[in-house]
Amino acid sequence: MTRLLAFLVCAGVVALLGVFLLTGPARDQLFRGRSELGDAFSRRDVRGPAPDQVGPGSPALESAPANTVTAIVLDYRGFDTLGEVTVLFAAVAGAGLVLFARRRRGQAGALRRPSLILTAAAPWVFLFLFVVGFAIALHGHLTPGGGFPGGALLAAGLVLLLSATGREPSARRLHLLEGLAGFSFVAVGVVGLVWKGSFLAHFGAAGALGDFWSAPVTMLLYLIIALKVSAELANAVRTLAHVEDPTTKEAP
Amino acid sequence: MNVVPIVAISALLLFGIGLYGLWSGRNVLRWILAVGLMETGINVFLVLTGWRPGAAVPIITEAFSTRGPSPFIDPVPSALVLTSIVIGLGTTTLALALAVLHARAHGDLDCGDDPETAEVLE
Repeated sequence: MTRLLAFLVCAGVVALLGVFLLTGPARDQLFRGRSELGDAFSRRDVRGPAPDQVGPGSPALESAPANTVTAIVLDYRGFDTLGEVTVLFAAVAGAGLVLFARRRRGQAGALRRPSLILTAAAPWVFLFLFVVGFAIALHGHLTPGGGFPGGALLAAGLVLLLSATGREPSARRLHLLEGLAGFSFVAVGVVGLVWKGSFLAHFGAAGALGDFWSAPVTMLLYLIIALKVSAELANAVRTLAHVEDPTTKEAP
Repeated sequence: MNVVPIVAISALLLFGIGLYGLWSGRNVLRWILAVGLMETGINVFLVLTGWRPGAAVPIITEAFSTRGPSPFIDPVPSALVLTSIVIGLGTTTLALALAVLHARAHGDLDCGDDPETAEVLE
């Protein structure tokens, strides 16, 4: 009876939302397919008098990531992305704090013995994930992807390799990598502040639009984000993997 | 063919399934999964708001021109959803850690037969 009620209420909420969002003024606002910011970006004045055509090979743009989503994430909202990786760090640190607030020493770290298939395949799969992860992170200014999925792939490779060797991932090294990456992000921002007068401002030659060696600061920031995300995800997996099975303990 | 209604209804259904999952059970893992489903629905809907007929991915190629209508989807919702996905990952991690904490304290993942939690829920 309660479930039927819940189902009916949920169906009603969905129907109301659908009617509200897909008809009338809300639809006209939401599905124009453009926003002022998006239009402003598409039509920005990139080098004084507007060039006739911006396309692959256009030189000396303001920062020149061909991927406009990357441009928004790291140029126009770079500071916000710094906050985003900080939130990710806080969540992972919070998970560690919650789980290991009263950890007994030497309790965690007993991973199961890896199987033959895992140990045989792990180096090759790790190599593949490593190369693809870095490639995705380094091409973030040109193709979909970037530091976050690239970092996730790197973390997957790292966790795979560590579980194949049966060793506990070194928390100290992961924390070091994470801290260095976070520091580098802020350092890049401070270089922009000192050199160009605003935090996370882009410096260096922008290069030609669509080239691999273009948008140097964007590439650097996405590489840093990939390293930070991989360290954080590996840390999260490490934290959750070393929890004892709580259901075997009896309730107090 | 206009994809907006199909994708929008799918997004709303995902949201609705998540809402029902949140309501109908007392299992902590089910709640976490349900919130994840709702998140996915909202993300799909947000990305959809940037869609426009016949538009390409927002990467500058030969098709791009500073004159005339932009050939791209609106990149702003895509960029926002990127942030949303990452934050969702963080909150899921924290929620799973809290679920482990609950299991440590009560021996299971069920909130239903726990008198204190039931009192709060009622």
